Amino acid sequence: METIEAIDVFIHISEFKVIKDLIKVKNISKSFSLKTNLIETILPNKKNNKRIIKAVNDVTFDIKYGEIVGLVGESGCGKSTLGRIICNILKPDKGEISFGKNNISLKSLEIQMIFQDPFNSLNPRYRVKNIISEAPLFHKLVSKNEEDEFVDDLLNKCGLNKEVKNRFPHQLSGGQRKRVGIARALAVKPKLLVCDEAVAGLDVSIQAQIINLFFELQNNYNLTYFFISHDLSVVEHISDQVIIMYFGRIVEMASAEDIFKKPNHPYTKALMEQIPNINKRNLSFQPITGEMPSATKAPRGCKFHPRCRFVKSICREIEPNLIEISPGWQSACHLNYN
Amino acid sequence: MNKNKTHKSKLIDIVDLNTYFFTSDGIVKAVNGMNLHVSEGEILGLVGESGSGKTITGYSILGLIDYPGRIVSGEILFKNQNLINLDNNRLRHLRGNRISMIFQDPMMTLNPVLRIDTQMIDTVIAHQKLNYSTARKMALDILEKLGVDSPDHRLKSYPHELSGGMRQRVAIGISLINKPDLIIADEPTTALDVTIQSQIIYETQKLCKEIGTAIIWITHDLAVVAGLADRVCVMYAGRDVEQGNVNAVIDNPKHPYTKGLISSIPANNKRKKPLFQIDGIPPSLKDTDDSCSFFNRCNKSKIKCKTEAINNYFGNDRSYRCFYPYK
Repeated sequence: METIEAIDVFIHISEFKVIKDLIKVKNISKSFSLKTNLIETILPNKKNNKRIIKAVNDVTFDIKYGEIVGLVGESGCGKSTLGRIICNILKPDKGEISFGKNNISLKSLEIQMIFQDPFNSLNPRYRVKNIISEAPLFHKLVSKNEEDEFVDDLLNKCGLNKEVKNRFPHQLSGGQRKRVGIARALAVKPKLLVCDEAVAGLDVSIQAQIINLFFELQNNYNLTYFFISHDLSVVEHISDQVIIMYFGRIVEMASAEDIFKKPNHPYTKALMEQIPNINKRNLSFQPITGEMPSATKAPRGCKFHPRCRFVKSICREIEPNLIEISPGWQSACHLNYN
Repeated sequence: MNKNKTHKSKLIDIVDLNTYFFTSDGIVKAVNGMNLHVSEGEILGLVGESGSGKTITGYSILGLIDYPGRIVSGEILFKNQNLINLDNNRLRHLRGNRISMIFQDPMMTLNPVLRIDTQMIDTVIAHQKLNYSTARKMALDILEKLGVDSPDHRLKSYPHELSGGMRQRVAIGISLINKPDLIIADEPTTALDVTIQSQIIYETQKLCKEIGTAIIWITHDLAVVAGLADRVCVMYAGRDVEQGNVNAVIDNPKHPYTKGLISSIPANNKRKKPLFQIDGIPPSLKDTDDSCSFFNRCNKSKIKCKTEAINNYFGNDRSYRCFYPYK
């Protein structure tokens, strides 16, 4: 019953046509220090005493209510760290996150995460029913005698059969496990879902089913998504806003329509060229060279310059700021200055 | 540019291959009547969902099927020589020399306690009568061609010192170093980033063209196949359901499963609209019969699909298994 009431409230709020910010992320930074070995602890050497990896570096953006924000980047660019910071799993070193004003404020329970790996994120000793109902029972969102009905309802919404309820995670297929992960996240009635590579590693036919499920749930519950992925074609399909990250920084941020039509940053351009596309046959392009630099040895200036085709002398010295190149479209590249 | 390739002779010809696993739960028909052929220098994309038998097909070619699995029947003709029932010594001659394999996870296939140079040089010396320094020069050469920077330095490192992309390049280098006739690449870029993936695809493609190696590129990503392959074979539940020239198959799929796969790719759907989806999940491979295994997920299926055995329909370098194909 509570579910229905909650939906009513959501619908009521969404009727205010003014789009409100759900989350404002301001100048967030997070760094991790590498463990020093024994010799370094005993004999501190000033040079390598602090080997620090800046996973997320001065990131600012906001997520609007009811929007799907896609975050794209290569592995190691800090996208999962950013997702975890938003979920309150990690605390940022610097900067602040404010969760909405104007009558929507988010508790941390209302931000839920769908994890990348459906094998490791489900407790292997719990049955599906317990996995889903553990959190809502603890937070007293449902009572013990409503539990069965509640779980059935959620499983049904996530496209799973009722029989799944009494199984263990190892008895499920990859797609089913993903759905259980989604059902668990939905169980506490979140407003924001952070999906960390939620469709990566799934077969095409299952991927389509899960993406459709996301759309359906968004319509039913008015959810907001923060969708982390390295798959540009999926991000293009579902997102309203797209953020491109490289080496812990945002390099470009715009609405999905704009960015896929006319990417501004050389890195974004390179990424778009390289998405394998079913309509591109017999590839004969020259891919961007090199790999992302090692996290401990960041290059000076623009972090992308060693791989950039349009590199200028200024790129090697000064790191470009994220500037607005047209309304709602930001890019961090020196080429935009002249 | 691929047109004259169809006249080339068949390098490998797999006819009605059946590889079963005899488990305590019953017989799992992982490969169930598979037909496949690759011409010299051709790139074949082998596409299918997980569990459709793509990898087992690859393993069957190299004779890597372990207990409880067994090749039950069929023929694998490599240069007119049947690889099934070939003794181990003769197979060793072929493996890593004439036919080699690239695996999905290079961390698992490279030996963690041997340096890169040892692993590459061993591969050469095992099959060719060459001295150490010539073999080392070959290793250097191939790494350079695969876009590894400072290959001299890399040769002296251990696998854990390299990034994922580098490791996969080394693994590809090892498989290409003896200039094989055929490479079986089992999802070699699935674990890598988009930019690294396209680098590796580009370099492998270039090098194979140069050497004249044919590739069976196993993947679940149709988009990769579209950009890379000359021909494509779509697998479902242990069978080839559709085969043909890549343009023909992707532009004009005959089998409902192929059509479903292509339509469910986000790029082929309108933004923000629900994707086309194939309902249901792939069938269990236990106790399957000769009828169409896509029957219960298909929107064109009729009673005949369930009751009658499904055979391949051939035509114009094209084959498909369907009673009611798309026109």
